[in-house]
Amino acid sequence: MEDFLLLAGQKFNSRLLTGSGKYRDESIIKEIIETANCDIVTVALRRVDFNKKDESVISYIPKNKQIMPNTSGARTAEEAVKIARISREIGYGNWVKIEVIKDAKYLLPDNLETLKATEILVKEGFAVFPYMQPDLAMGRRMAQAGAAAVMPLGAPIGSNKGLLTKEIIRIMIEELDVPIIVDAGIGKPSHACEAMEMGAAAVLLNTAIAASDNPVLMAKAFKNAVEAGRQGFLAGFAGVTTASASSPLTGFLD
Amino acid sequence: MSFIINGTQTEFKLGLTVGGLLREKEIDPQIVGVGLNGEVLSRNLFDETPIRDGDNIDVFKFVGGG
Repeated sequence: MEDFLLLAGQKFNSRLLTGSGKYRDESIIKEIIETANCDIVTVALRRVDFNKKDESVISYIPKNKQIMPNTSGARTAEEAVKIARISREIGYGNWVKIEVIKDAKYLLPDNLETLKATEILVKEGFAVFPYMQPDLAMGRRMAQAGAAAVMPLGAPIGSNKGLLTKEIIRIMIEELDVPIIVDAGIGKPSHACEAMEMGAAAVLLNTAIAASDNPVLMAKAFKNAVEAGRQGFLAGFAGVTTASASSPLTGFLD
Repeated sequence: MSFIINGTQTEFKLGLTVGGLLREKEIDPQIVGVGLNGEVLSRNLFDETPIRDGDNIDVFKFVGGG
């Protein structure tokens, strides 16, 4: 059975998106991406430090991967739009993950500013991926505005707490016609597997791999978990019952 | 004459272009994006855009992010 992820008119085999942040040594990123077998990688935009002659993170990302710049650092829609425009000008396509955060403690995104940025950037021809607090009405508005997918968080960024917002994400998957990518909070392969079992189109994670003791092995674990969860979802789960014997219930010698 | 680059006030000589500035800083123009006075500057205009007194230039590149 052919199963691919369709985002902004492109087909992808992998449903695991990874971030390129928080690596102590960025040269490991290539191996992580290859081991995770992911097709889409997020990056951030920052001012160049002229005193450091370090490489652009792009040099560690295989050329055939889709780059998804984020708008981290933006506190308003206006700032996010500015970051998106500069990112596009660098020349790695028109994708952008909208991330607008004012909340310094929990790093929760501002859905209204995110919607505003989505509306503006869709009109400018971007493929827009809004990262948001799970909310059906806002998710619907983002979809109506033309978002390529909607990316609700499972738990605060980098918290590794898993799918704390599970029921709302489930409802969004059920009710919205755009792909739902669970982004943030996923700390263990089982969390990613669970999101995929629920029918999420994909998951996006960074810290869980980058901050593990063995990032390459963790990348492999997440690859397997995402594939297992997707296959389980596609197979269709057996219904929950009180009890149902797996073997015949007649007596052994009957 | 001076301009601001990435938040730092800098002196410059007349005739310096954005492209020339990047070369002076040993920055590959292919990997950066430039904001000039709050507007995105298209890469193909780097070499023909002169820096003016009081300009505010931001030079960005991609870094690791989630």
